Amino acid sequence: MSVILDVRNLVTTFSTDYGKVAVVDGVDFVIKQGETLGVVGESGCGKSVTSLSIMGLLAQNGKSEGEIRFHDKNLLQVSEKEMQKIRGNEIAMIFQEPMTSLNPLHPVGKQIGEAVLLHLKVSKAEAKQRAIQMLKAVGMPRAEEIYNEYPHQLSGGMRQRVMIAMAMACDPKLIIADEPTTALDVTIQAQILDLMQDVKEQTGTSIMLITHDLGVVSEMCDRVIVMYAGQVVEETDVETLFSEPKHPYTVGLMESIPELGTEKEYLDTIPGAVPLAHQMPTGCRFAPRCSKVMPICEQKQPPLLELSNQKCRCWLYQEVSE
Amino acid sequence: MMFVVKRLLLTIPILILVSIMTFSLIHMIPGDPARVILGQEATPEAYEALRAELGLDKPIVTQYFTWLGNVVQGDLGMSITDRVPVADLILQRLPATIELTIGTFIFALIIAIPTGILAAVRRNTWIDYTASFTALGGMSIPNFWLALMAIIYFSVENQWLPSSGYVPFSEDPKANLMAMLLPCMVTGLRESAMLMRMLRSSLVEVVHMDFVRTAKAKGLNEVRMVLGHALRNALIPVVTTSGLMIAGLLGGLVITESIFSIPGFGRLIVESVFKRDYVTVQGAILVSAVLVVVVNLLVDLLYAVIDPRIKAGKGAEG
Repeated sequence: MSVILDVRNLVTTFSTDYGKVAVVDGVDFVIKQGETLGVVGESGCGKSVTSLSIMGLLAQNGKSEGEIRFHDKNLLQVSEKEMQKIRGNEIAMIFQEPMTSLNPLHPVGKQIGEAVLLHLKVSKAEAKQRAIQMLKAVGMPRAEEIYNEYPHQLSGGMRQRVMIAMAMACDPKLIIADEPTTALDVTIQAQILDLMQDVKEQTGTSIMLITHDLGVVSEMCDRVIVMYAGQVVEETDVETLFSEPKHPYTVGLMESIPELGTEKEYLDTIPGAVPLAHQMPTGCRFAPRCSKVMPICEQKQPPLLELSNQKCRCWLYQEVSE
Repeated sequence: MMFVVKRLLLTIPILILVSIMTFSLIHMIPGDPARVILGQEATPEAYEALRAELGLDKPIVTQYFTWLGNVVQGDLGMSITDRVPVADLILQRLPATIELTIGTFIFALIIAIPTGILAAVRRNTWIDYTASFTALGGMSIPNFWLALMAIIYFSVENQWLPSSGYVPFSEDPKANLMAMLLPCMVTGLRESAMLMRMLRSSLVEVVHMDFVRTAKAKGLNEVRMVLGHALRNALIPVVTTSGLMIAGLLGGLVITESIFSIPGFGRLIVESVFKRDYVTVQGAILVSAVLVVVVNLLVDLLYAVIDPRIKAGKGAEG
């Protein structure tokens, strides 16, 4: 499988009142053709900022350095004009909040057709046909009528289907889905995930799925990167992630999933919270919350070690990797 | 449609209230039209005779209902001082003011919309600061001063535009437009300040909304993102302000009308108040109230055109 996206040493900083703060700090990963990469981590770990960096959608005070190689281009160096040709066309994005991510004043069909009209050389009528076809593809009943309806006339699940239709409309090579099911209720979540799975199988597009829900990961992903405080702490295929998680943070995440059939009065939790981006510890960023902390952890940052089945950023495995 | 009917019905009590208030106010002001007409040296007999002729000797409640009865039939009464139907006076004066209001509004929009958009999109840059500073100046400078400066520059020193000489549009369109250009520019500049600031703050909020990011993620450039997606979402407060502005202008252009010698509606009201021509004042204020009500109705209808979520009768009470 060929690599379609290769992110190398991505550092995204924001200028804030505390000075320059690196929210994403040296992230590396690749996405291959037709694969679903899960990006897991708790709120504030830099998942969304990573995706916005790829799309070039950071707020004005944000800046990315490093390399984001998409085909033969480094997305961090292409002009804004060139980036506009890539966005929505070759890389599309599905956002977390279907309620607010659609323009309330335009009919949804027009919003889908807009990208088609922009990127593909088609007439207005053809763009409309494509939009209706996309609405059908995402399982919308009465697609012709829905084309003319406004977002407020649709339910949350239907709006997310519209978002997916919009993302798929130009047959992108990569879809970045930022917590696409978080805002939806459970039954709808399953439908949307099934839909995304279908889309992937039909079109062979790659998906970067950002989530904090490990259930979603197990269902959808081929490979997973676990992020913590702006860094990748573990990278592996999905089976290994669940069978032998290595990083204490990943282990902690696994233990905090409720299991059916086990009698537990309290769920295991990871004590403490993610350090603030302007107050990072000097050593391992997870050390203050880690149950297996050693003296070296507080002095030196561990590198991302290559293990047999995975990569892991933890001093515990230094000997194993050597 | 139901919504329009409902709104129109709602205007009836408003207009009745306005009529009662204007009727009582003008009678509370000290001074007597009969005295004004006859002067201080008139004999008591002549004074009483005129009062009887004008109906001023009857109880005030009777006077009100007589007047209201006529108004309902389209008769606003005779001007006490000018001895012509009030309706004719108003019809003579209203077109100039309506023209001035429309011209002012167009100028205000021409200035406010581009600068408001630029200031919002280039927030916290020199463009934004310059626009906000100029707007603050526009709101602080008294209108009469600006008008006088404009006359000195455009009419006295350069003779580009006339400073007065209003002729109705129907008589000489070119002369009419030439005479109206300067007053419209002056008041338009002033009114644009408020609209521009309204649009800027509303747009600044909207450009940070999720759907604008979606538009950008689709590959739209900044111009299409702002004009195609953000602007319309930012318009509601601007439409509200515009409605209030137009309503205010229709009766409140006295200063501009006086400086540029335009025989307008605002001046009619003020002149009539000074002459104690209460019949004209009542009629003019009633017409002005009707205009305000109509403008507000149009604003409410425009809300629904801009935003499909605002359905008739719901959320459009403002």
